[in-house]
Amino acid sequence: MALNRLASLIALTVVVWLSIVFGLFIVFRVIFEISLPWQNMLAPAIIGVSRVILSAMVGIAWLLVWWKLANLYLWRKLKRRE
Amino acid sequence: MVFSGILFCIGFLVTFLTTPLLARMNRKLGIVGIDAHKTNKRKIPEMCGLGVTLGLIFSAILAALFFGLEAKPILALVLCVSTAAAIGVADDLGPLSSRLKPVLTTIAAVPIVLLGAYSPYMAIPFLGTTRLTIVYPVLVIIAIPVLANSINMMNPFNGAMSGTCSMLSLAMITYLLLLGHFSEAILPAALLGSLLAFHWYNKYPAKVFSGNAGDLSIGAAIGALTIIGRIEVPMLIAMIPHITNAFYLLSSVGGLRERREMPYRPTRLLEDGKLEATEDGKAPVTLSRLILAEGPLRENEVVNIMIILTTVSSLLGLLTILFLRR
Repeated sequence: MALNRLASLIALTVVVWLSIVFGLFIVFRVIFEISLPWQNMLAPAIIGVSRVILSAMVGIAWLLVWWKLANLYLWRKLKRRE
Repeated sequence: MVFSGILFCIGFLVTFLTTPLLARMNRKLGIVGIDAHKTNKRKIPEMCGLGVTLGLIFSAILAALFFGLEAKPILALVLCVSTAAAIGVADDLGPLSSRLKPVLTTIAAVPIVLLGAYSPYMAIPFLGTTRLTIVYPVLVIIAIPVLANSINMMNPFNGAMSGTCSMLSLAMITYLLLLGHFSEAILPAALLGSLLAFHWYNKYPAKVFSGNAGDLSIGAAIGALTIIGRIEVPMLIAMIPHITNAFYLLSSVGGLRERREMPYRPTRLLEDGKLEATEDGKAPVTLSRLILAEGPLRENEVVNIMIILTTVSSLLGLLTILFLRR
């Protein structure tokens, strides 16, 4: 079992971990703290919807980063093997 | 700790004794699968992961009756795991469509929500506890099918599911003990005992297969115990190999697809019995394909790497606990 292979996969796992921790920080410290400068009947709904949309965008960003990294790793290794 | 030890032994014994019986019964009934990653293409009895389900349910009932554990979470766990097992059995006997299976597994989450076997206060790294009164039940309904199906997708090789899930159960016990949730650590101990007994039969070269019944119920059990134990974020981290594998697979094949619906395979078996990653651009991207991208390996070596990666992610989960401010 090559240690190189294991090291690359562990590095991928660590990157995913960091992205999750950072993403959670952004969602709960930044997005969930959003407020509007005015108060009316629509404000809570606008805030709620914006929080959901922005959190979903962070989630999609996570997934895109993971996807790009996995593909980059796979095709680089397969090309090198050829 | 003593109760955890006793339930670990009970879970181990029940699964160790029932798995060969299930194997014999399923072989007799013709419920067998082909070991695709062997040159001799042996037929192996399927659906034997129900031994783990039985071990966990039996231990959970004993815990409620004799160890004074609260009945509500145990009832939620038993209902959740049995529902997932029933869906898995239906899938093993007459395959369910790739879209129907995840939808059906959401039913397994319903007992947890209806019985209120959760706490809407979630511990987030660096931030402390956040109240998610409205969002949390929705997260439960999403989390159980996602976890159950991602465990199901992480079972391509002999011992992969049982080995990695044993590691996840051990991680769960460690997190719960570190956070001082001692009574919640009893049930994961039973799951660990059951999984280790099952791994004895399922490890390379496998004598039994877990089947969808085993995979889905074990995944649902891990999800339910995570929610009951309030260790959502560390377990999300510990399950990075499982979750990323499921995500890579789904995004590379463009949505929910069953194995039989995928004409291109991520790996192929070589004449010397080793496995190799395929170069086909249309083949799904999976964790096993990433592991094999650098060169061929034996099946048990791939599984060992999967277990090592789950160990690393479990350690990262442990590190995350240090960032949780309660």
